[in-house]
Amino acid sequence: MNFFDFWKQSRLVRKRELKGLIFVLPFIIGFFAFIFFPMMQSFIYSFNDLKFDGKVSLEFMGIENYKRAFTVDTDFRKLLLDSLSSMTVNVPIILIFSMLVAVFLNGKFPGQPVFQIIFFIPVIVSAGIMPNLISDDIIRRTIINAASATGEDTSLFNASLVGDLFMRMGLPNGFIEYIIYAITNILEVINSSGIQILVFLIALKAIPRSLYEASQIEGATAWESFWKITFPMVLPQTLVNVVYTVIDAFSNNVNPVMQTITDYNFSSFQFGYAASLAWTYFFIIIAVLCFFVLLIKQLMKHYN
Amino acid sequence: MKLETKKKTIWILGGFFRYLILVGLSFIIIYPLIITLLISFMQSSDIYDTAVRFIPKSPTLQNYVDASIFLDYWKTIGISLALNISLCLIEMISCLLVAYGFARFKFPFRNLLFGCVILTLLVPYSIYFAPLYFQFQSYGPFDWNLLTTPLPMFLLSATAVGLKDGLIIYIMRQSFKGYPKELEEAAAVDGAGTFKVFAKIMLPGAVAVFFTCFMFAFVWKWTDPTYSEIFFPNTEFIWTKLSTIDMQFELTDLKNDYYYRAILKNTSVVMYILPLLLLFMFTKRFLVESIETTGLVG
Repeated sequence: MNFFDFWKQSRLVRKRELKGLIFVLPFIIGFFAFIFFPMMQSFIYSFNDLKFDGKVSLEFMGIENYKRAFTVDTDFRKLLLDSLSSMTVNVPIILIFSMLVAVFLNGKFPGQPVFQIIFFIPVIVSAGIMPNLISDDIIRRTIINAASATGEDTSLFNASLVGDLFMRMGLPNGFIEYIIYAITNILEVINSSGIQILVFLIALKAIPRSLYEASQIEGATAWESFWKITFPMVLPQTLVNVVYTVIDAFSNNVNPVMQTITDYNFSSFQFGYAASLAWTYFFIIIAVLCFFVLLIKQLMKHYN
Repeated sequence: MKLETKKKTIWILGGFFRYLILVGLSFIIIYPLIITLLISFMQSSDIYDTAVRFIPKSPTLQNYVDASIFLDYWKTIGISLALNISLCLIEMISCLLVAYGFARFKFPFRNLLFGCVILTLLVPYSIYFAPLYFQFQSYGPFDWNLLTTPLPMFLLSATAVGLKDGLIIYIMRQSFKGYPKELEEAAAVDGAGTFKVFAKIMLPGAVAVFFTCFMFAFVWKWTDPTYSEIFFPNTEFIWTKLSTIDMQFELTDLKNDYYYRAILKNTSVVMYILPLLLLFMFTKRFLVESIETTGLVG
């Protein structure tokens, strides 16, 4: 290749690069104008006391805001810990549950399309303000009260039965409590698994059937082929799901920490303090994410 | 032969177990919705009547008439729909462009920029909402107050950084990545320009993903009022009306009629999610299609 060809080619490449950048341009503008720049501002706010009366005025106060968040404000610490612990408990439940449902939904059987659609309903109606609206409903309570007055069992599931069964099997107490927790919170679990089920389902559909057929010929049971084929094949999607689940749980608008920060901002107008809380929260989210991502990466390494 | 029958039993048992689980879970999903729907047709007398548990004795539509007065339904739903649909359409266009750029082109800092897309998902919006609010309060060199207009929300959507747009870019990029490279090359040989290839070849293939993402974006906006509360305050959307409906009851003679208030609240919920359900009915075949054909996510 002579120099002229090289120059011509690199010009073509550069032209294509430019076109790519033009396509992405809206995001570049949006990111710097509406995300990155405000983020940096908020980082500065977190070290200041901020007054707002038409114009922003700052008064530098060092790490005073962060000190308050960690040493004085016990409410925030408690909220943070609650949010963290419910996260570590819920993420595995949601993942296992959505994997299980996806496995059941996968394949051709009568009624499959109907079930697929039903399991998508939570994504539509259960997000955001819906659960809040119907949780304290006087009529529902009346119905339940009337039923329990006649001695009916009104819980959707009787978890104590399962607990009893596991106890007899001699399983460890912690495990039993965990299962019972999962069962009694089944509605919440379903409501936060919609997208995850979808992701797993797509991954499962992509696994070639021939793999299962081969393992069947070799005499593997369904249980074995799940752990030898299905599980390793969907590990990448598990990673996607972990990230999605953690972000969704941390940043949905009914999360108590998010609500507290929003209140500090737009109800009591302590913008500087709110900024320091938000940044603390952000670093904790990153830490939790790193933990789960590393865990899955280790698993992936193990399977490769 | 014996092995065959054993296998068959396991197969039948497995099928039974699958239906048991799926039907049970489906019931848990649908149950609250059915109850809400049934309550919305009840009269107060149905609640005092111990014989009535779920099915109202004399179903009535009066609740819908009353609730629509409290919600100022036709006005608020009109505003909400108009704003949401236009925002989502703009958002889809910008996200399609950005996703296509990320999926089919190589350019400097591409991975870093895509990292920024993921970052927009990770950052809790409480970090940048306050500075953004100040920014829109006195925008540009002439200190325009944009917060009295829907412009801030349109700006965010047009630049693909609106609510959960990172996820939409991710999904669309994933589907654009699935196209064979030859398709583009063949078109380029025929003399079609880049933008023509995008419009004539890529977009028709992206219809299913487009509608799926449109539905996602619409649902997320409909159920997360935070954006509109902060960036377009003092406007009455259906969700703001719904969250303050208790206060409105206090102002009327329904104040102490808790049962009727609860009936009206359930009716309002039905009216509020009705557009979501209709949209879902319309887009569900696209959703199924994008599950079947492309790797929607992952």
